[in-house]
Amino acid sequence: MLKLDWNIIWTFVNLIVLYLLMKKFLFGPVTEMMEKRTKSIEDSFAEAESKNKEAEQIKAEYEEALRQSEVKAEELIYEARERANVVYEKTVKEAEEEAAKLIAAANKAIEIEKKKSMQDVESHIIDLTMVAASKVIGKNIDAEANKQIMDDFLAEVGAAK
Amino acid sequence: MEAFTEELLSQLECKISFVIPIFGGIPVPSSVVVTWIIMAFLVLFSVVFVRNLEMIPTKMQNYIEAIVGWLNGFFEDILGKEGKQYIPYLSTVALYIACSNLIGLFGLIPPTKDLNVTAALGIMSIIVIEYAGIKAKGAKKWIKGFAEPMPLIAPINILEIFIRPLSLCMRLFGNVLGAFVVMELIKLCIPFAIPVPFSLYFDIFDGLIQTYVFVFLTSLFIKEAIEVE
Repeated sequence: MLKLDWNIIWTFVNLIVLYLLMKKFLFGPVTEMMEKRTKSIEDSFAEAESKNKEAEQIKAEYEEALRQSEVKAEELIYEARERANVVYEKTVKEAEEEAAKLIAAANKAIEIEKKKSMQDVESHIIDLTMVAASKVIGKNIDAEANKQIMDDFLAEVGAAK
Repeated sequence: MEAFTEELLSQLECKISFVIPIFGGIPVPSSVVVTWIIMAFLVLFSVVFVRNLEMIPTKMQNYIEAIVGWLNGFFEDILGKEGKQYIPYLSTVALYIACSNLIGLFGLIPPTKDLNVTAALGIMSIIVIEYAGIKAKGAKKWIKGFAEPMPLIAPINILEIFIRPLSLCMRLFGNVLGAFVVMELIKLCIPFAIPVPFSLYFDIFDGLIQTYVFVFLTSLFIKEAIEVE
């Protein structure tokens, strides 16, 4: 019953063989598979986490960009309005100036025309008067004397006027 | 009564199953044959069910992973990360002793009833324990470790090398043998119905408890050996 003998060697051999076989066929692959699964789950969690973070970052970036573009648009509109105002005012001023200039030129032309007409009228009147006067006098003195007389007369009339 | 004593003694005898006819005949005890049966069962079981593991476990893989995971967790709790390499050995021993103690249910004689088997298990345990100690601390520190906490108790520390496997071996052997003898006596007195609850206790509960105690103590000793202060 309590017999210890060389048969003990069997158990050593059996245990070592069983250990190697179990390690190869059971514990090795199963443990490896479980670790692999743990790792894959951890990986997917980490990946989800990082993706979430990335998405949030992108969202923040977009919001920032949107805000900036809104500000920019407002600025642009303001600037455009300013510029338009400036152009408008300038145009109006230029037009006014132009108009003033045109009016002045027209006035001057009218003045000149008027003067010219006056002179024409004057010379006509002179001629008429000459004709009339010569008729009245009945004789015609020489043109030189006529002109002298006329001018005197006109000067008189002009002074009276 | 005398006939019964005769019968019991013959039952306790470790029989030789057959003799391998080489080198002048190598005797093979029945415990070794039963061990081979257990080994064949464990290995075949593993090969068949571990063959195609999948990332998402189904059916049998769940149970296997539960068993392996429990063993891994149990030993890792005791040994910590440093002792991870000893887990497969301890798990193998746990499965082997559990199967050995339970095989009585199938009418085979438990190999752990053979003193040679439990002695070998005890000796293997102390070899692994001391190997772990030498590997973790280095030979010099390992030898020094015997004089701790004080040189006076060095002889006791050295004696421990022999006491530990002896106690492991004898605890297992005594329990299995005791359970076997008690069960034989009960079966002799009342061979009907009554042995069932006793068999549940002695064959299953006690068998698993002894398995647990054996591997628990072995892993505890390994932990003690690899602990570096």
